[in-house]
Amino acid sequence: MNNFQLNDSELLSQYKNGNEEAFKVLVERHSQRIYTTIYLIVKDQYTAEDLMQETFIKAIRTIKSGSYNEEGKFLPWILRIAHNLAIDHFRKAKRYPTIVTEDGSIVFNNMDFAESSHEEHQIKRDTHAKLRSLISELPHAQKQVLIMRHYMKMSFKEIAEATDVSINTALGRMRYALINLRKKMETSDEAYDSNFYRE
Amino acid sequence: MTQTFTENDLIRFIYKETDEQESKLITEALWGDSCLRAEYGELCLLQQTLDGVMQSPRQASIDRIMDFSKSLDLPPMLN
Repeated sequence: MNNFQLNDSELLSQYKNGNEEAFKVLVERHSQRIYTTIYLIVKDQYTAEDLMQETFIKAIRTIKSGSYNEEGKFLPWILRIAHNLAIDHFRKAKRYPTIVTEDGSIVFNNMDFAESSHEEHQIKRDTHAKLRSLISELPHAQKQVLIMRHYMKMSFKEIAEATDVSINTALGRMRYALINLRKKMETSDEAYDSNFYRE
Repeated sequence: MTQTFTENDLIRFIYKETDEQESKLITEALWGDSCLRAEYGELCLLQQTLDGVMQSPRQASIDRIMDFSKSLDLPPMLN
């Protein structure tokens, strides 16, 4: 069995035993999701790449020092590191004013997206850019749940705990986020459903 | 058909967080309700579109991570 067929836990086990290639598979498997999660918060390509590297460096140090103890849960663990670093970055730089909702949860308030420069198809690029723009217009609480559920892969239960709301509230926010995005896409000039999947 | 689940349950279903019994009920309802099926299809389409927003870091960033890992020369751990 080659490295690409192994699950995260098996790859970590090999990495702990000195197999650097196993870690490379993990990095390549998850770097896009980790990078996107950071990028959606900091909205700067270079800052996002720096923070992604910092995230992995923290992970490497933890794993190689023997402190890692979340077998089988590598992605949620490293996404938490990434998310915390991204939030800390803006707090330190005072460019990310923290907004706390009535229920005490911190919401994202600074989401915009740079254009991707390496998309192959113009239609997809336009659609992605449009969607990124529409996400940025969502109410903060909806944006927060959308990032946590869709890009960080947290369960609704985990989101509810992290943001100190009920599961139904988290679900409701996600539902409204999706409904709002769909409405905005439908009313925008670009018909996303007819163009986006055209090859 | 009487709907036995909420809109929030449909969101949980789309994100694969419903249990086996809930999934069975929702699947049955989808077969029997064209409006619900259309709603489900729209949400799934949007979900896929959201995946398209994902972006990749430059390869140089990946290379630097791997260089750091190789440079951190700790003895292999015993499991």
